[in-house]
Amino acid sequence: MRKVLGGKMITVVNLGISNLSSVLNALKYLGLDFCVSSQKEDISKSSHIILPGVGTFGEGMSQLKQKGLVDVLKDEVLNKKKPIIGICLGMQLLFETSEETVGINGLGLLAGNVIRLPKSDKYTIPRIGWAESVFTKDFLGFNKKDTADFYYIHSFYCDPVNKNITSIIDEEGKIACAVQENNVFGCQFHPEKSHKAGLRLLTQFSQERL
Amino acid sequence: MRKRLIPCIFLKNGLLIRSEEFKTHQIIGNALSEVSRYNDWAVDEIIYIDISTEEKYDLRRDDMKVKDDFKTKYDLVREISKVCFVPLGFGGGIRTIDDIKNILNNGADKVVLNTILFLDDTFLPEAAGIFGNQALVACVDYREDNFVYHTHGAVNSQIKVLDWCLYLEKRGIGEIILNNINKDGMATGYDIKLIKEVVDKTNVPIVALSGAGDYYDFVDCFEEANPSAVAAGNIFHFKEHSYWHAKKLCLKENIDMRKD
Repeated sequence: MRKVLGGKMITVVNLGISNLSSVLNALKYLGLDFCVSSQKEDISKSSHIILPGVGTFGEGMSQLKQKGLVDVLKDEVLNKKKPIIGICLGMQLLFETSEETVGINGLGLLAGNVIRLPKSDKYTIPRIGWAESVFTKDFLGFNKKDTADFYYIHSFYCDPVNKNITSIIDEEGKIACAVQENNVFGCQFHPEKSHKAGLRLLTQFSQERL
Repeated sequence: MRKRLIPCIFLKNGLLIRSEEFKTHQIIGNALSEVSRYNDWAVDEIIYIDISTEEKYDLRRDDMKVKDDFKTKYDLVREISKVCFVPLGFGGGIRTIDDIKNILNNGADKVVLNTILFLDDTFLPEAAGIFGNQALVACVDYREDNFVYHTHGAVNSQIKVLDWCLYLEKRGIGEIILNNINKDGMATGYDIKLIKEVVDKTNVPIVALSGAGDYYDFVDCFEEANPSAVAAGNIFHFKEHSYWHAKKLCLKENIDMRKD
């Protein structure tokens, strides 16, 4: 793992429940400096935080609690304003609660809940595959009204209280596919599996300033 | 969700091969040197199937540095995933839960299962419980007699194609690849009638494989049988910019696909 002292460094938070290799391969390919860690100290030292994750909401939160990362993440993001991006389950963990695991609180960095995907003719559940996604705001190097195809695998989605934080929406205009509030970013799709459009988002995230 | 067009890459002992009716295996290249080319094509997904009958990986390229570290299929998956930023499926010779774990941990998103599904009836539900059904793909090899075959197409299971697909769906498969052995490498078009029947009667995504001879075969298959994806092997190896041309034609014919 490469480390650059004094420079920018992304910490990829390792929940220990999911396979990180795709995210790490993408960061390596893009030539970004990163470390993989579940240590508070690394998160404090880093300039950017990526919270990836596959698994259930309850499992994800229980790992963050066991590793003692809940408070440090809140502090770094809310007080020190470090850019964080949650990917897939990682995005869901940014919110307050989830229908997937009732009674467990999320990180609460964003106001809103995670709810079950409604049935639709457009997809089956889990909703898997490439879907056209519409930018409703400027977001990580893309402009409002741009469209791009991203790769999704999910059964739940985020329902932010403030609808204005939704930055990418599905073609039916129902599912928040990406959100941004100040330095807090989330994407429901997998940028690391979304070819050029996804890699472009990750590159742009790494260039977000404190 | 968009319809997908998937290059399906067959490997034998670490080498890329072209297959015909599961019998003729013509070596056409080196697995590693081709990988980044596929990524450049902006494919929707890639499926690798390792049809080696022995655990031997000789790239016949002693000049390539990675050779010494290249001992198992897991090494192969790891190298492929380093430059693959679209969903990656890998199959061939999977017999245990640990095999699946190793393949996924080395960077694949899905595993393709076949023979083990006949050998161990409890395997699929167990794997689905651990990895989720989205990670599990079945390759259903069948012949014109409508029976499903396994063990490199050598053993007749005496099970009809549709019955087998319905059974797999019930047991938790995430996706099914339909592969007509008699059409493998023949370039005579997809087995549309049977693909349509399975698509109509199951609720899992179906991937059509074997038979593509020209790009209109993809369009015909989507229009007439409506699978979630069409896959092909040989056609993408022997024609210049074949993936790009195929995609362009599908889009022109209004198949709902990723443009990139």
